[in-house]
Amino acid sequence: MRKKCIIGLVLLIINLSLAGCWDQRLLKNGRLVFSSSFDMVDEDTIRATAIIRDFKDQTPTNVVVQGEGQTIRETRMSMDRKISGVFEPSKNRVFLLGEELAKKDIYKFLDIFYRDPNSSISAKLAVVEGNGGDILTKLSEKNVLISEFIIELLTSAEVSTGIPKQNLQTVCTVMFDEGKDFALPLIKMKDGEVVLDGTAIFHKNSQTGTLSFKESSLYLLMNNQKAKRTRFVSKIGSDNKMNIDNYITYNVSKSKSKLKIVSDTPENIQVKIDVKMDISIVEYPKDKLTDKSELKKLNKKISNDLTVDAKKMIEKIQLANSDLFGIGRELIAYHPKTWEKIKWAETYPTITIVPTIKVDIVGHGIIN
Amino acid sequence: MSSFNKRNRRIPKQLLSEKEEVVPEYLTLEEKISYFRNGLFNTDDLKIRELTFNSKIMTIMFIDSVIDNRSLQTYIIQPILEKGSGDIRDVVSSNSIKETLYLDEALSAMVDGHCLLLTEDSEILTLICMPRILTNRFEPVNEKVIRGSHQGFSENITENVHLIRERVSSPKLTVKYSSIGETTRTKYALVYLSHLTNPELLKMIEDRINYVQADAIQSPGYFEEFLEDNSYSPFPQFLNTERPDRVAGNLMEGRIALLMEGSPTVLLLPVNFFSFFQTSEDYNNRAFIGSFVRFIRLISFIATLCLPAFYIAVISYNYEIIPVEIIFSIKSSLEYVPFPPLIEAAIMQLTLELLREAAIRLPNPIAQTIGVVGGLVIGTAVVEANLVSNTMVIVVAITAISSFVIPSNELSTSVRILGFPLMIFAALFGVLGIVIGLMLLLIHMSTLKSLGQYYLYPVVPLDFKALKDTFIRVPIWLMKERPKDLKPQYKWKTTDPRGWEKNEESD
Amino acid sequence: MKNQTNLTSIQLMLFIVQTQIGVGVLGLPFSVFSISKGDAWISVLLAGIVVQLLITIFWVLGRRFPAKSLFQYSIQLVGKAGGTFINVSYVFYGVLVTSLILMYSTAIIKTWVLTLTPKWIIMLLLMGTAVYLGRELLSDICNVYVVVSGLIFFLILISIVVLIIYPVDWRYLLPIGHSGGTKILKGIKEAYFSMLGFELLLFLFPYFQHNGKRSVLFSASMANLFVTLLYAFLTIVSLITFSPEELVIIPQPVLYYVKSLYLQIVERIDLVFVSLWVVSVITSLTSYLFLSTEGVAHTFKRIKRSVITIFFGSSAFIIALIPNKEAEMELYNKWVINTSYLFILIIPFLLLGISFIFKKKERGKNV
Repeated sequence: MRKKCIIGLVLLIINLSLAGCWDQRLLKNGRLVFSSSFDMVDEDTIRATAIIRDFKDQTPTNVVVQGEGQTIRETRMSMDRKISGVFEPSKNRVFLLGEELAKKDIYKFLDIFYRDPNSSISAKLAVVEGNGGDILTKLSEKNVLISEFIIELLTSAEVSTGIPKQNLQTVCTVMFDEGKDFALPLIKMKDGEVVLDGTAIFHKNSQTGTLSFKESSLYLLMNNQKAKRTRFVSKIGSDNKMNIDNYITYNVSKSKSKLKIVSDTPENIQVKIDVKMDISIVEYPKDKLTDKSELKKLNKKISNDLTVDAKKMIEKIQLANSDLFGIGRELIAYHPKTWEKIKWAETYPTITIVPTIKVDIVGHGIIN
Repeated sequence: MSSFNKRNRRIPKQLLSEKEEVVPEYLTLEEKISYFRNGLFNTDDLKIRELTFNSKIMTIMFIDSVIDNRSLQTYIIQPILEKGSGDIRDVVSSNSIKETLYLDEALSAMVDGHCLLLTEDSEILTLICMPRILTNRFEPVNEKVIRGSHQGFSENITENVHLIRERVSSPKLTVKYSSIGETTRTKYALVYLSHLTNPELLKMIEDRINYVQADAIQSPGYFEEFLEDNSYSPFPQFLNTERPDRVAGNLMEGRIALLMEGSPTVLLLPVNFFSFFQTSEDYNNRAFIGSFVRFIRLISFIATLCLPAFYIAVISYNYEIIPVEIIFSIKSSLEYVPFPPLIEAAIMQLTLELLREAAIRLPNPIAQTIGVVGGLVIGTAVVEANLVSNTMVIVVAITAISSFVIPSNELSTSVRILGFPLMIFAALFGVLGIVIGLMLLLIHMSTLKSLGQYYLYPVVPLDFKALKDTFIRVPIWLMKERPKDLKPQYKWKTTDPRGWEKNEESD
Repeated sequence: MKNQTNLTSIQLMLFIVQTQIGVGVLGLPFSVFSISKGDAWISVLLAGIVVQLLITIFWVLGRRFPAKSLFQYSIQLVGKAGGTFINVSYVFYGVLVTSLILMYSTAIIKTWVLTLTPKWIIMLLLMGTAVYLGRELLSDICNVYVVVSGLIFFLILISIVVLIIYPVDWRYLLPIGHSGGTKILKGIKEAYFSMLGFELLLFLFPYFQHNGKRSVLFSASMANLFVTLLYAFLTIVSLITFSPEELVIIPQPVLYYVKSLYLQIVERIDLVFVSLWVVSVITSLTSYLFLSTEGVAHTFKRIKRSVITIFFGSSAFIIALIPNKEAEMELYNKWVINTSYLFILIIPFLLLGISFIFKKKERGKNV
């Protein structure tokens, strides 16, 4: 009996000092991936590009790895064969999806991230016009902190109400919701620079259109998703001598939007979106901002300008069949009988959505 | 209870003349002697000496530990024996001789450095002042405080009892001497407050001591192991201290003190876990400061226990917990280290323990140098040689510092050692292993008892009122009752000590 | 039983709470949702009411025998043979439920945290801790439960944080009642399974009856109320965080919504959550082990309690090792739930009926 105890103890000690245990994923051995992108090379193959962060004498460096395969996991296995150490994507903070891939069903590609308990599903997603791999490679030549660059780009755009706050998990929820659709930030290469160029809008799981930066801001305001800052430039005149006098820049300080379903007869669904905004003027060379009649005029002009933009944006959305406002969800919640009678994917492009934007100037900076 | 309060309400000390109304009773000498004996609850340091003076029997009664024995012999007993008759005042040379007719006054004076002369057929009780003079006591090295008394116990048991009696001058403080050990016959004393301590506790400890049959008892540590509830547990169940103010404070809570000849360490029993985190300084400082410091001590306990284990679990299993910015710097420091994290941690901890043991025995002049060498040089050199990563050095250093924050030396070493099994659990199972390890520890501590009292009181049998003094230290005027675990005979501590506030406000 | 008279009614409440909150808390929203869809929370609340009824019935039964647990008055009511049979079957039931809890929790741990560690090691860890606690007397067990109950508040706190930070959509709950009455009622069955644990009241009565019979009912009802509200809260949070279609594929929604939180300092809060939850699992295991130990300890007074607990722990461990696939676990699960109806509904009703009909009460005590 004693002998067995001793042998058992010795084995335990040896076990601890040699290998460690089954689930050990030593930080030392892992190669940490910080950002990756997925593109479709042709009909069957996906190309994955990953940026691995290394340290050479306390300075960070990047290593770009590419792999190809039929599924995402296969690309990961192929990349693992190209690097030393273990391929560790658990700290991956940003995923770039190539345009081609985004136009197909993205859930099928992202499924692995939802299934793996170690993956980081609070990572950000972005769609790239063209190939994600190109962007990453381009950045790696100029910048060391690639992933930080992209992440900061996206975060600051979120703060200025340019793009919706989405991560892998929130996108999954909306993908599974038949009454809502989502939008992801859109990145593209312009004149050799990486630029955030608005959002890509989705219908169900594939990309069907894009919105410009201004339109995305407007959409976010109308959806009650305003972030800290929102700045707009509106054209309010056309016949002034200097062009700059035709424009006014303002910051939206408070905004409230109400979505109402006016009529829910299945053949003629009408939706009204009323937005009330309080703005403060940031740039207006003509001054005279204390004059009440001037203010009233400006209010009207800006409201008109924004309403026209909103109408255009809604047209775009309906063309792309992307229910960004969650009108379908409203119907399910409040008008279930109507919902049962219609096929939303077909009905949505035909419904009427009427936006009304009312603007009220409440501030004008430190000068009049 | 309320009548008790009223009776014990502090009345400003009255002069003798104001108590004229009480009629003294007439007792014989034997009745008086037994009155004093009972009043002191048959304490063992009460000594009685019979003399003949003025052809009557005169009895000298004194408490051995508070009286200067040599002066007693020279200035009181010798002149009485030599002269044999006369007026006491002319025979005895002392600076203060009081006469009184009241027995309880004499009783309180006896514990205050007076010896009592009783004469047959006389009602007068003579009190002669002859206090023991303390030689300079040094502060115990292991239990330093910034604000508080700097006295410490010595190796002589009578002196130690005197130090305690100085602080608790009550006739109800009882001392029971005895000796143990067939060959060494070491003298030990049990000190307690008879009207406060639960008599069952006393009986329990005396029963346990009676069972002990040993050839030699070298030190209180020996004794401790014979008497404690669970010798296998890593947690000490008796508190040892070298400070008289700590002993006095604990006696007033209803605990029992065990002193031994030849050792300045006094054992306090029974204790709970949170007593190890209290110092006398807590009560000397302001309430906020006391609470803050106590809070830091508890945090340091948790840090010592869990920090290395948590670090190992995180870098071996789930590094996703670490925020991205730090993760890269940790990784770069781990780059060239050949060992798994558990071995790294074990190496560093063992080095630390070696340094600590060596520092105890180093002669003073070298100690400083070794401190620098050990700390800085070894630490830096080890990192440079890539034997250990520098984050691991930081973790182990913080663990060591927090372990020394714990006021009790025994508990701090126990906690450091307990960190090792937790590290092994963490290396095997990650964060889950730490949770299992902590659960096992909690279960062990909840069932541990010190002399029949729950070790984790007041957390384990949950008592909200007593929590006032555990995690924080509420102002003293809020602590009106004693905690329940020791089942003291009465619970009253203070009654509205800030009542003057109302008086001042109404002006 | 005589020397544990210092147990308070709070300890009773927390004992029942800790027993009820166990494996089920993670998967409850999913299993109820699969039947009741968006009205899962209504099913949970209704299940709480059903459990409350059962608790009241147990209380009435226990009240007639204040100083005896079921193990003793069953013999009194049904005769020695029948009573012993009932006792043995309850002991058996305790072991079955223990191994069920062990199986499910190990499966979740293996899926989420320790994927490669062999099953038996995880089970050994959990079982070892549960046996270490379960062999103690009731007062010690209750003390540990009281301390550990603080962790439940962490669970609630994390859920509230999710509610605030995450983009939730309350419209997933609307329209209320759209699943239809039958589905909601069917969902009660699923929710009830996660609330098992209150039947221990039958055996705890004698330890707590010195607090007054009313207070026993009060504590047990408070425990039930707390657990029901907690479950309903978690269900609602899961329902509004995930869209209905998505919830179909997420078997542990409570863990999943914690996983997607990104706080500045720590990332994978689901690990913290799993750690806290493991503590709840261990307490549930301990309670059922305690049940089995109680059943045997009073009949065989000479065997030490620890030995009995270790024996039952090992048997549960061995039973839990047998099913390998998820399908087999489901089968075992169904079987145990069906047997539990026997123990929770049929036998107590039977005993209560016999007690009323034959007017058999505890002799010498007034009801």
